Amino acid sequence: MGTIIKSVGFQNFYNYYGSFDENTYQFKEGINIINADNNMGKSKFYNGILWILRNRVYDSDTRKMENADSSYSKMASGKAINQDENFDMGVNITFINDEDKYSVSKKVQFRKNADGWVTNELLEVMQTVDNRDIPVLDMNDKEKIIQKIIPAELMNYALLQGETMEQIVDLSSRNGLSSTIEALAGINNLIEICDLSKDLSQRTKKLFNDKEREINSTNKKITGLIQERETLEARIATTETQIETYKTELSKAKEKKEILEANLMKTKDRERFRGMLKGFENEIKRLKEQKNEKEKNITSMLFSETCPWMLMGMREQISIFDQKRQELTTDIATQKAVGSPIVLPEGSPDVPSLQRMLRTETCEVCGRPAPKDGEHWKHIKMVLERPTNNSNPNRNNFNHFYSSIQTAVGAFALSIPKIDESVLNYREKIDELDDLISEKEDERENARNEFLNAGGSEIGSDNTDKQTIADYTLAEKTIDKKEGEIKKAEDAIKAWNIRLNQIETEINEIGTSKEIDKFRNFKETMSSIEYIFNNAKERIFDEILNSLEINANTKYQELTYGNLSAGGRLNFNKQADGTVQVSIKNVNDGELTGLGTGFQRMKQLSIIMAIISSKIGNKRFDFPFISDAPFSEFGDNFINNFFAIAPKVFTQSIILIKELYDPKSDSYLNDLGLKVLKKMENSEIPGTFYVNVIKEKADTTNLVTKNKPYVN
Amino acid sequence: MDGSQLRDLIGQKRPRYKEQYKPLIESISKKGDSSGKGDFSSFGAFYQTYMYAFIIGYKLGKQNFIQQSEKHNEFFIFSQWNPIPIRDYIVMLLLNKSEDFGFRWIELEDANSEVIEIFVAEFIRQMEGYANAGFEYLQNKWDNENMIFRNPFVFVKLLEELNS
Repeated sequence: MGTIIKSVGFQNFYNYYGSFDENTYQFKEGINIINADNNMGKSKFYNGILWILRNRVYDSDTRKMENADSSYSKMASGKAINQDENFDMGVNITFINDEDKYSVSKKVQFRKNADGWVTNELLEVMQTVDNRDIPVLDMNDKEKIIQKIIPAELMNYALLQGETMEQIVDLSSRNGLSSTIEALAGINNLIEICDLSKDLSQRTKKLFNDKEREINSTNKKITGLIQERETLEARIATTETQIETYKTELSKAKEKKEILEANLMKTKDRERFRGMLKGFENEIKRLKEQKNEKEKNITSMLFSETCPWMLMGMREQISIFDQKRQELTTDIATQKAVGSPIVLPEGSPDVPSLQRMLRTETCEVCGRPAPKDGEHWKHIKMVLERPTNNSNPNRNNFNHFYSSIQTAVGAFALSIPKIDESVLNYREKIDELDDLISEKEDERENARNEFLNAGGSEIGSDNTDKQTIADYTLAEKTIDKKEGEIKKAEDAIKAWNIRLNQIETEINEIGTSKEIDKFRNFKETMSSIEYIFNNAKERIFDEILNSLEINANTKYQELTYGNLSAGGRLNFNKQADGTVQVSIKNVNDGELTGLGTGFQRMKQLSIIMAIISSKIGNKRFDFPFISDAPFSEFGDNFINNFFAIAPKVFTQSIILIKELYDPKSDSYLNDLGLKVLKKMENSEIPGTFYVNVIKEKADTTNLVTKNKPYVN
Repeated sequence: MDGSQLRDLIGQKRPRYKEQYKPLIESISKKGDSSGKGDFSSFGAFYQTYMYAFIIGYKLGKQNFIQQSEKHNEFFIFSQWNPIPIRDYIVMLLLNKSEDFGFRWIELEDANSEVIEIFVAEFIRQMEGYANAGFEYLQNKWDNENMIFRNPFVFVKLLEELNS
């Protein structure tokens, strides 16, 4: 018997906005992969299954399982709610169980009235008979059909969330272990017979004691010994009950320790991610301060003394100024030249003589003629009209002022042409800071997600982690104490049993009778029967455990195949209290320590696979294995191995993962994702492959997830 | 009169701006809020805002003179403005245009002290003309495109716009 899920559909359920037609995943036998980044609907998908099967959902805000009927407003698509019109929210699963086809839908009608939303839940179950869908009306029948998807006793193995994987197979719990073995071996009847034979054995013992006392009632020595024997037997019975209590307490403490051990690993992870978060936050703060400083500095750059941006494009003004200075120098020189007196040598002609020479057209210095407008006449005229000494004695001299200005601004002649480049560089530096900030913000977001995946809470969980460590220490102390108490009680029973044997010998020596022998034989026979059944139960238990150990190791080797660090060997060690401790041993049979969470999870997954693939009697697990984020601690090698062996173990699995996702790739797949997809396309891995995408960026309440079927 | 005396004469002046631009100047001259992280880009000192406005007006080639009837305020004395090379650059820009406002350099060399006083007064008036034209331009941007002032590069962008 078994189930194959044919499809899972959503309607306005969390991110899955829109009708069932727009949000349905078709599944096959083999591995069905839904690859999605954070916030793209993996856990929402898983919650859809939980809602149908358990009427519960996992609330990522409170990090607890909540009843679905108190979470409808969170489960409904934010976008549908924001549209403010009546709508239906729902999840539908179609499946085949023993060749019968069923459809189960849970829906909530959201209807708007004056006070807000009114909700109404519906459960619709259909059975397909001869290609006709027949509604199932009886509520009990509906529940039975839901149980066919995955029976309640197998849900622990079939529904797996990465975070809770450590707590699934609790071999350290007496109840957990016996229920697992019983589920595998179907030895309920044998256990009942063991209980019955124990009861019968005790009754015959009492019968024998009564008979012996009755027959020997006159013999004071014997009645005294019988009295002592009864007292000791009562003590042994009380102490055995006490031991059972101690064992139960020991088992609880071990169970608690095991759970806390898983939490301890997460505590360390949380500490690591908390440290990373703080580091990123400090880095982002520092970068933002740098950016802020740079931005505030922009106006200062306008006034920089070396490269003042404010003067961009004004280089030519320096040349103009330079030119004006040169012009001034020329003007002053010309003015000086024009204004300076020509001093004639001593004995030269005076002004009246020069005027006469011009009039007579004769040079009286050399005695030669000087015709009018001739070269000599013009020379005499020039000497007559030469400048006289009339310059301004109060003349200004601003040359130093102009010169100091030119000196002050001179350096800008070189820097102004570089302003554009300087502005560009400055902008690029701010852009680089922006890029760095968003890079660090992405890294911080990843660390935050990892922190939350490791059980961290937005509201400081330091105290919780301290409590975990304190609880772990207490569990260790309780284990020591209970083991001591059990040993002490067992030693006491051993001593009392020795005395009982002595009493038995003493009574036999004093006297016995055929009638007493008859009751003694009866008592001993019943005791032997009790022993035989108990032995059979123990043997079956050991055989199953042995088979589980071999099978789990095979799976473990397959899952860790190709890993650089050897994963060791799983060792199933039966404890005195009836529990089993699974540890990882190295080649020298020593405890293998220092393995990360990934290996610890592989250990658990190997045990789950071993249990599921155990073919003890006619029992075989044949229900879908549905897992949300099982690989969050694993590397590519393990994921590859998982895809290779999972189809051999699970007839159908539905795996929700992000490890194949690459938001930057056009196909949304990383290299490993592309490899897996290729293997699926080539039918090397049977199943389907979907990628969830968010087409429009929105806040978490308004996200809309759509699926892209690559192989279906 | 020598160059340092002329420099002193100019340096003692207090350039003026129209009262109507006071709120704008205050808005863009504060160093953000008390945490140093304001919403708007801003200048550190008022006179730097004035220098910037002058450059804007100069690039625009526009002047907006203060009329006698107009309310106005005075800035810090010019010689105290910093940085000195930029202050000198502004002096240079105005000297380059001195002929346009009626003073040839060669004539200044021969001018008496009264003429120099007149020159200096006109020199400062010209500076005020350009700066107030710059303020007018910034006021218009502030009133109509206020969001651009949230960009830290706004004052660089405004200069780039006028260059292109």
